[in-house]
Amino acid sequence: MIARIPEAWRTPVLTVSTVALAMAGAAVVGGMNARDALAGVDLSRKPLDVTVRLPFEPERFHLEAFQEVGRYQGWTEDGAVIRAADPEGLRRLARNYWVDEIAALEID
Amino acid sequence: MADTAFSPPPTRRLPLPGRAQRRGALGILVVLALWQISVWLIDLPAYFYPAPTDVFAAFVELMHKGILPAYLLDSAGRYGAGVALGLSMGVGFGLLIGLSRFWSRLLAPLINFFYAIVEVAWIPLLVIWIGYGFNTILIAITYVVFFPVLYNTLTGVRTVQPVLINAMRTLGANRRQVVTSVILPSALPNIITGFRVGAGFAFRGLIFAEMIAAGSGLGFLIFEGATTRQTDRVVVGMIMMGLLWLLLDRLLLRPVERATIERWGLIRAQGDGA
Repeated sequence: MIARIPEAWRTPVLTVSTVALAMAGAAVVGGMNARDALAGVDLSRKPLDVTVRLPFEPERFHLEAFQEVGRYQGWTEDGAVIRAADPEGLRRLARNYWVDEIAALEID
Repeated sequence: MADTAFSPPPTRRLPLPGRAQRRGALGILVVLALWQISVWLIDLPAYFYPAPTDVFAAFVELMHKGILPAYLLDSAGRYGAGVALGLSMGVGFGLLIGLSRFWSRLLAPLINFFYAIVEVAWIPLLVIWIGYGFNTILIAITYVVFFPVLYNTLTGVRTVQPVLINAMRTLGANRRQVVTSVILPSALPNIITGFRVGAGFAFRGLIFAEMIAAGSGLGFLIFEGATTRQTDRVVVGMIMMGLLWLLLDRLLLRPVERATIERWGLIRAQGDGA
């Protein structure tokens, strides 16, 4: 297969293929991560209030990601509280490897 | 004959790094060692002069928190879009000006004028007109790529051997056929050289634009790191810029340029060069 590519074009073709393969791999891993992270959430529930658990304190980058999903209410010891979350946005958020778990917000 | 018929197939070894690569790696190691020693000797606060170990720790942290991969992807997307747009506009205008005396007279003074205005001067104005974000950065990168591609395309078009054009015309070729069969292939090595130069400038344009007009990306990482005194992050951003350019140039731009010159150029590529 590689031998068929003219020698002069081998490095660029292999580089582009490797990048494409890495991105496809990242997409697959992201999909698996999303399935695991969202396992305990009923996405059809309304209002969809959730806690996003991270292994670290969020920075500006993460807060912006939360705000794209819903109303970010604050950071507690359980994680980031997001109210009125958009299900599609939550699926997107859960694809990130830095998200440990997304759980339905328990109201005491 | 019988000996060779049953001999094992020749094993293909992975090429070992050459002397140049080994010396390059050694140079990097020496710089890192000197940097670390200078940190011990000077003994300044880490926020002022971070050690290589601090920078590595910041790199690991940024990867762990998902910030660096996201910023890298953002920058790469903007860079790719800007370079593609700048390339297509540069080639288009280069052909237009190179092939038509009317357009050349009309546009040449304007293009010369705008060539002198660096993209950094445009960014504040673009922010006022368009606002922060992708479009401003895209225009800034396109602007940076446009000029080297245009001037190189122009050189390529104007240095086509007239004998080739005349030969095509003698054979009954129309204007379109002359352009597609002679002028474009002849100008291609110049266009690719302009593309490589423009792609290098685009990197600087991207970082400038992201520092001023973005909320993500490598330029933003550097800018935010400086404002929050996280200098280790600033250095991570700088090293990522250098590494990205090195990989892009070595693995994509330089081989494409060499392949194009080998296929369409009059000069055969002679090795790698510096």
